[in-house]
Amino acid sequence: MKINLFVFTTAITLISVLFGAWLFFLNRLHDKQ
Amino acid sequence: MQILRGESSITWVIVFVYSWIIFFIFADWSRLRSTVYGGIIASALGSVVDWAGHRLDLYQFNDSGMSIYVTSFFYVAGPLFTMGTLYFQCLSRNRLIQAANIIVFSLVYLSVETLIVLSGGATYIHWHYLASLMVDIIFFTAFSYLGEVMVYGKTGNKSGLRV
Repeated sequence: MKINLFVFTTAITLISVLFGAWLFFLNRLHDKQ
Repeated sequence: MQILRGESSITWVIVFVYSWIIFFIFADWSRLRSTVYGGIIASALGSVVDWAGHRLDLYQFNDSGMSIYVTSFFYVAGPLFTMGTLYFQCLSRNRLIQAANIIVFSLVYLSVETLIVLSGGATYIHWHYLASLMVDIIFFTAFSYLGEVMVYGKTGNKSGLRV
């Protein structure tokens, strides 16, 4: 299976948003200390 | 642009740009002096591992229209450096959160690697996704220990660690 650039960009955007949410959660956790 | 010809080359540029966007959003600039070592070490180790991977024919980066050195630059200066720095910044003294952090970073690396392979930016020769996952988990586990020693251990400032 080979994916095209649109699928690649969409998928990596989704991964980045989820990863950003995790980093945001860690930052919030740190700010509460 | 001759240097960026071909979709498989563009994927490395996209990963590079996204890495730096995430870095600029979440980097703690006040702690960068100590956390940047994470990026430097991740870049160095990643380069050595990928050099070995190429030499042993485990996998290869595809270079359609772009030099393999340029591809490697986008990889080393992108996800390796930025995520290495962010990882040192995100260390936690809470073991559960630290374990979750290792799993999250490993899954993100595996996901992006899978996308790059599927898009043709890299090719597995004698390699497998599960092998990548195991290497990621081992790397980030060892990296956690290294980060605690390098960022906090030498100053004895345990309060700097995230709880």
